Amino acid sequence: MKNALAAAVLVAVVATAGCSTPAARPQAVLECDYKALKRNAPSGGPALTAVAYGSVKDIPADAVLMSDERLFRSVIVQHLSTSTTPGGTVQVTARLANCTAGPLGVRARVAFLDSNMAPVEAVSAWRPVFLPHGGMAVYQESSLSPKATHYYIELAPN
Amino acid sequence: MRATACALAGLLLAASTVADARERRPRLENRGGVPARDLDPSEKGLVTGVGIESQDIQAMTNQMARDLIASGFLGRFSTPPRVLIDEQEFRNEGSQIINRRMITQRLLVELNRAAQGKITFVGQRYAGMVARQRDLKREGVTDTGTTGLTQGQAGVDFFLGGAIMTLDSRDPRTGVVQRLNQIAFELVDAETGELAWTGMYEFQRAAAEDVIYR
Repeated sequence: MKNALAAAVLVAVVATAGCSTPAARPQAVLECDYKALKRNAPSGGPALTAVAYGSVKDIPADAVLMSDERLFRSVIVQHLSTSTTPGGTVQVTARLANCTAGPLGVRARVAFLDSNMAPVEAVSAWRPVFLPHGGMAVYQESSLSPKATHYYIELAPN
Repeated sequence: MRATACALAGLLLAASTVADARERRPRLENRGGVPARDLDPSEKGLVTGVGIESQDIQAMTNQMARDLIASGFLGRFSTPPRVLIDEQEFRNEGSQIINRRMITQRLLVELNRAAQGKITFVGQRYAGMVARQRDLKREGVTDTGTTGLTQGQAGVDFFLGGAIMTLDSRDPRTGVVQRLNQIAFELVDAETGELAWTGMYEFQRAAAEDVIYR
């Protein structure tokens, strides 16, 4: 009985050895799920607030600001991070997923802010970002100042 | 009587001239024209083609300044390096006529602002004037100023090199023109010729109606 159980376990282990979690599948098709975006998007955190509170809805810092609803429905920010460059400045990285049915051209720029949400430098120049159909593209920009602690990326149609 | 008639005729002529001018005025207006307006140089303008435009100059110089500061190049020096940024070694090998200094001068200003004293920029463009001022001081025509004398003009540690390159293609059937613009930037060690930093800005555009750049 013990031997049979051990054999069954061994068979199961061997059979599943080539499998892994869904996230590590060898191939996949890009799918955008806006319900999941709404459900799982982190909330709270730093934000840019208007002088007359509420007159301009809070703009989340360390995030991507979409220029309009149509663009919001076309692109999902799949990854967002910051790192320190060899020069001691801050580099932001945003990986954008194309949720439309064709190739998409957008443009992006970033505003780097200090801890009080004041700009530490002039906003970066607009740069085009081309997202292939069913694919993603990476936007990266580094600050000129080492004092940048927050940022927001602006995304607009190209 | 004759004078009164002449005066009346003159008055009528003047009145008709004014009336004619009023009638003509609408015709002279350039109703279909474009009035002068201020434009954002970081955005595409009213006249756009496949070449380097204002928004590209802003974008490329901004990106190169950010790349150079981020590269860690400045961390190698305890004393601010002397850098020459001008158009002398920044060549136009492309098909577009362009004032190269529009790029190099903007890059200089962006870097000067961002480096905050970590780079000393050398204005070799003014070497002639500097030599004259040095002579005037040493000949006693002027006093020595307040910052003291040096043995010679500032030597350069690094200088900017680079090139504007283009690849043009045209479909004779549709008239569509396409251009790949590549702008390369290099910071060259003025003693050894080594490349201390390199950067590249490139874009490709197509249009059915090209514009004339001059």
